Amino acid sequence: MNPLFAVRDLLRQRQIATSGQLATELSLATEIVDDVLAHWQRRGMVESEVVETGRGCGIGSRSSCGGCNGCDIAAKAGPSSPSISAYRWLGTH
Amino acid sequence: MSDIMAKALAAGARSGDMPVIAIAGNPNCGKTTLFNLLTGARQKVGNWPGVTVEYRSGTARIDGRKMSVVDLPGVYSLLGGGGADQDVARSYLLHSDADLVINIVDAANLERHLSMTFELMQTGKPLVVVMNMVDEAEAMGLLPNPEGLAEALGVPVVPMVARTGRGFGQLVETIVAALREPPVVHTHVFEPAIENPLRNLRAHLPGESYVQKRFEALRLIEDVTEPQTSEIANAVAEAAASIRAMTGEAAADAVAGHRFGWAHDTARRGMGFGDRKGAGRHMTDVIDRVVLSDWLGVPIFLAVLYAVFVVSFSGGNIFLDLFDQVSATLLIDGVGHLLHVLGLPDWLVAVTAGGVGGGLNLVFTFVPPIGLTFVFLALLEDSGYMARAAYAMDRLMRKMGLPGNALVPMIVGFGCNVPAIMGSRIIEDPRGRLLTVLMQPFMSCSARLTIYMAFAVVFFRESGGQVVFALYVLGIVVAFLTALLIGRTAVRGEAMPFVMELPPYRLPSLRSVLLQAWQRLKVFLMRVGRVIAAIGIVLFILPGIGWTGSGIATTDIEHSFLAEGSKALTPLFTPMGIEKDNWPAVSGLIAGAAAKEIVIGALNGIYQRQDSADQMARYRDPDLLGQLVAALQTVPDNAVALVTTFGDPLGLAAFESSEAATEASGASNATLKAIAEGFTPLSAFAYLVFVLLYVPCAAAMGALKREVGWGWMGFSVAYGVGLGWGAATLIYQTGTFAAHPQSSALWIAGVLGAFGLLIVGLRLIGDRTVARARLRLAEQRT
Repeated sequence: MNPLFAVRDLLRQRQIATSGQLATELSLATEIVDDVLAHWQRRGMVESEVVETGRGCGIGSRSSCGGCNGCDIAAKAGPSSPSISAYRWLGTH
Repeated sequence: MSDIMAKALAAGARSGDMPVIAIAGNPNCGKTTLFNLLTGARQKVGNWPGVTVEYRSGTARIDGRKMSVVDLPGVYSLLGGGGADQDVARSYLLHSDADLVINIVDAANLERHLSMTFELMQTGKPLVVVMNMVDEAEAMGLLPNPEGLAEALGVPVVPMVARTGRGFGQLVETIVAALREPPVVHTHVFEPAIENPLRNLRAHLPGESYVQKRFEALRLIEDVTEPQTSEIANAVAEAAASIRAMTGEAAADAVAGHRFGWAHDTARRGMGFGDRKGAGRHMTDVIDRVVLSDWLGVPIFLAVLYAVFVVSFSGGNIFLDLFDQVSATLLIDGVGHLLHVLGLPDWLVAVTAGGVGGGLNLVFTFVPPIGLTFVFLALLEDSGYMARAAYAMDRLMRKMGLPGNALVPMIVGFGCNVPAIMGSRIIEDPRGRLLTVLMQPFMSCSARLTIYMAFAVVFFRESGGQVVFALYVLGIVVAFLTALLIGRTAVRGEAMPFVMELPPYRLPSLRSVLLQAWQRLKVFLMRVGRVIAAIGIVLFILPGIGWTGSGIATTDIEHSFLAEGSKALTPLFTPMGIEKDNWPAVSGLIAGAAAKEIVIGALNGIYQRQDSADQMARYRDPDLLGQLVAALQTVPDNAVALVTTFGDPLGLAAFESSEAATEASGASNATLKAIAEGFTPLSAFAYLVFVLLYVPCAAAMGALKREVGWGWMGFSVAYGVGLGWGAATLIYQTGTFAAHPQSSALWIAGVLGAFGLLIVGLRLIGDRTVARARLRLAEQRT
């Protein structure tokens, strides 16, 4: 497996994910996934965003969010994380 | 750093026929621990030429032979795009003639660290890999396989635990063998789809060697540097198009992908995977769940900081009098007596013993608490907690509009504000960097610590740790509020996110901690000691010169230039509790604008001078032996006193009256006694707050100008002086409100009103900046 392209392919498929999620699904160390994401960020294919989970996210209500799919990520992160960093795929290829 | 500089430095590292060994690796992999293990205390610390990246070199004696060891900056990659650290490391490795490179990698995080090993192999330098922290890898359930890794890399691999010295013997043998017969490192050959275009590109590049040209070609293909000429740009475009056509990936991705894939496969050959999660990692996870939690992270960090300063001050207190009295006996009375016996004139005896000796006596007095502080800070860094402190503070800092890594320069600022200001360059976002730079002057540097200690000894002897902690926290709070204020008014925007690696918790090595603390203490003693001694002489003489009827002439201290100038300015400081007779305190503040070390030096020079008549009697007939014996007796007495303070942990008793505080001080030298007479505990605290907040020092001002320009430097200085004066006045007037309610109310209202005006002014600046940016955007659109 090539971590650079494996992470790209998975994130392209998911559109948005945390580095922990990607690491778990690909059985890679989080540090490697972070390095790979840093490469894709530098190349303009990925952007990071903070997903608020405290209010309107991760607790079953979507009233104060724009339906960004971050709820699912936040819900998996658990109630102890009011906000988490997620990565969104921007590239086209 | 220029290549010429790199060569000059490499030549400097080589002395005679001593071999040169460079240590390279990622941050947090035990690089400095290994360097300390190899060189012991034989180290030189400075800056790499032209940049503010720390340069550390030393001498190792291996197998009876002296060797020069260079500790390269810890970086994740050599390719570039990561600031001056990477430029320094790459330039050194490509241009120096180092005989051997030791690449230290973290066994518990092997795959990540092997990326840099891949890059190091591209330099073609003889290489030995140290697989460090194999104990942590084993605790995580991993099975380190150094033989497998050595086979995959084709270079020697030494398993080690640098922290404890495990594997050091094997490393020494490997170094000796590698220097006798250098391991041949073959630069990695890519698949033909990448290698052929790389070779074509290399032909267009300048450079002295194959390796240098190849490395530059890789940097150009990975798009981390710009082509210098249009010919090179065309060659890069041609190579990139060829790689894309052959691999189906963009050239930068194909090359990076190859490196990630190589590290992934190589790590599997160097590490086996057990089927259980190790106890060590489990323990790290359990502790992290607490220290990184949303609600406990910040309070735990503050509690740790509190414990460090209280334990350092209380523990240091036991030996403080010993250091004070022994150094006073030897450096003031002993030197004074010796010079007197040699027949030197009284004035020279007084200047040397009182000025220089008195200054050095003050420096040595604070060695126990400051040394202990450095030991505890090194313990926190080595244990892996410091990185977590940055992580725990990230969310709070983001709310302040700052990135979490802004905490790193702030921690550096506890040592010295100058590298902290320069260190803010690690923040890429210009807005975050500006705010971080403006916060640094409020961090309590080690020079300020000397002043805190002197006043704490006099007024807050039994609660010194708490007072010093309060001042440190006040500095942090003011720094955050400054960022919040400026970030919400004059420079509006959002903080950029940051990513950092959290090392596992480690049991710190005593040797490494003591060495780190000693290096810091040595720098502190050399820098602070030199300044205080020099200023001691100047300020011992200045109070003796003044304007008389017959022009400039020697005069008594009350009519000297220093006294007249300070007296003229003293009314400005009266609202914060400095009485007109206490003009030396104002002299200290004026001198302190140049360097904080000078505040105590100035007070020492003046007070010793005021006391010089008595001093001569001390020099003529001192009881040196009796004083030394008395100094030794203070150790058990202070140890007992320490136990009795446990009942009053906040040390509130010392605030009750100035008489009690003066009595409690037990100050033995003239300076501390004069401080005790010139201040009350309240005015002393207000004075310390002013010292904390006003102009940091000339060097810090220079660094501010370099980093953020004249305008923001001017703002920082004026803001610091104003804030310091306002805060000190608020403290003193609130504390003495009952004695003069009307004037106190006016002062308090005036300070708060001025602060309100500042906020309005900053908002107006911010509005104008935003309007200008919108106008520019509109113009661009049309």
